Amino acid sequence: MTVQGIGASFSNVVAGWLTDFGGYGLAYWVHGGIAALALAVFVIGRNAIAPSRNKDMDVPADR
Amino acid sequence: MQTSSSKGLTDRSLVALAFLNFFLADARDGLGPFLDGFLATHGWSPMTLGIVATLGGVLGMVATPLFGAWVDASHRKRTLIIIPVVLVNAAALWTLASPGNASVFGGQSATAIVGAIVGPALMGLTLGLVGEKRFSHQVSRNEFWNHLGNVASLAGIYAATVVFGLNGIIGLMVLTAIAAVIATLAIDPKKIDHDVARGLANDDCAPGPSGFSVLVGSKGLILLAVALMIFHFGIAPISRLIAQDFSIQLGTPFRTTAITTGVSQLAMIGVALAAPYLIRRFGLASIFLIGLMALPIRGAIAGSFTQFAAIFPVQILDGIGAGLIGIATPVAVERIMAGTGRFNVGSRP
Repeated sequence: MTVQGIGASFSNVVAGWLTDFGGYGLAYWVHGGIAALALAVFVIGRNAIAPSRNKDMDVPADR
Repeated sequence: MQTSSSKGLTDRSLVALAFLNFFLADARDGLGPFLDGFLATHGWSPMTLGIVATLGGVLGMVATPLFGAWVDASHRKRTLIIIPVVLVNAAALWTLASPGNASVFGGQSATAIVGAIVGPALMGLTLGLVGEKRFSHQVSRNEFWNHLGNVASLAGIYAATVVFGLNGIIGLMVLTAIAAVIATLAIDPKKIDHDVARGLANDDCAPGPSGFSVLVGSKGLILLAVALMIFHFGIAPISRLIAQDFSIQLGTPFRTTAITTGVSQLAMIGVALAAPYLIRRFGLASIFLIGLMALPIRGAIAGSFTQFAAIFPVQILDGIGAGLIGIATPVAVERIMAGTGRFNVGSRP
C-alpha cells in the first residue's frame, strides 16, 4: 500500500510537469493512458487477482 | 449477547460519532480539494501545485504508521482528533489569508502530518466504542456519514461562496471545525475501551510484515498491487488538474471545485451502494474491468473536450472507477488470502 501511495504522490509532479509542458489536455491523455496499462495488467492476471466466486456469500455482501 | 443493553448505553456516543464523521469530512483536510483551484487562480503553476501535492502525500504516508502506534498507546483519543482539526483549519485560514510559499508549503506539510493522526485516532475511537464484533459494520456507517458530510460541505461551500464570497468559505470552515470539536467532546470518554481499541490496532499492524511475506508468495496479490499502483499513478492527479483547469477558465475556484468534486462524490456514493449487489450479480472480475476501464475513458473525454459540461461525464467516471476499485480491492484481497488457506474457517462451500 505504501508503494501505491508513493506512486500516487509522485504522479502529481509528473502531471504538473506534463501540464506545464503541453497543457492540461496532454496530461489528461497521458494519465488516462497510464490507467489503461493498469487495465491491461488486470486482464492478463485476472484469474489470479479476482478468483471466481465460490464464496460470494461470506465476503462481499456486507462490505 | 447483551446487545440491547450495550447498544442503549453507547447510543449518545454513537450519534456523536455519526456527527463527528459528518463534520470531519470537511474539517480534517483543511482546504482539501479547493487548494488547487484557489492557488491556480492566484497564478501558481501546475508543476508547483504538483510538488505541493506530492510533498503532502509523502509526508502523510510517512506519518501515518508512526502515529498509528502512538494512537494505540494513547488514552486521549478524543484529543488526538481535536488538536489536528484545530491545527489543520488554522493552516487553511493562513493559506486563504496570504497564499505564499510559507503558508502553502508549511501549511500543507503540517496538514499532511497532523492529518495523519485523525484517521488512526478515529479508527481507534470507533473500535473502542463498539468493539470488534460490530467494528466493520460501524466503519461502513462512519463511511456513510463521511460521504454525506462531503456532499453537504460541498453544497455548503458552493452556497457560501455565492452569497458571501471568500468570507463565506472562512465562516463555514470555522463552523465545521467547531462542530467537529463539539461532536468529539460529546463522545463519552468512559465508553471508549482503550484495550479493545488497541487489540485490533495491534492486529492492524500485523498485516504489514506478514502481509508482505504473503504478498511475495502470491501471484494474485503481486499482480493486484502492480495494477493498483499503475491505476493510482494514472488517476491521482486528474481531479486536481480538472479543478485547476476549470477554476482558471471560469475564475471561480470554490464554486468550480465544489461542482467537480461534488459530482464525483455523488457518483461514488451511488456506486458504493450498488457495488455489493453488482459484485454478486456480475462477479468480481467484471467489476474490476468496469472500474479500470472508466479511467482511460475519462482521460480521453477530458483530453478531447474543453467545455465545462465535460466535467459531468469525466467526474461521474471518476466516481465509478474509484468507487468500484475501492470496494473490489478488499474483496479481492480477502478472496486471494482465502485461497492461500489463511481463512480456513471461511472455506466451506
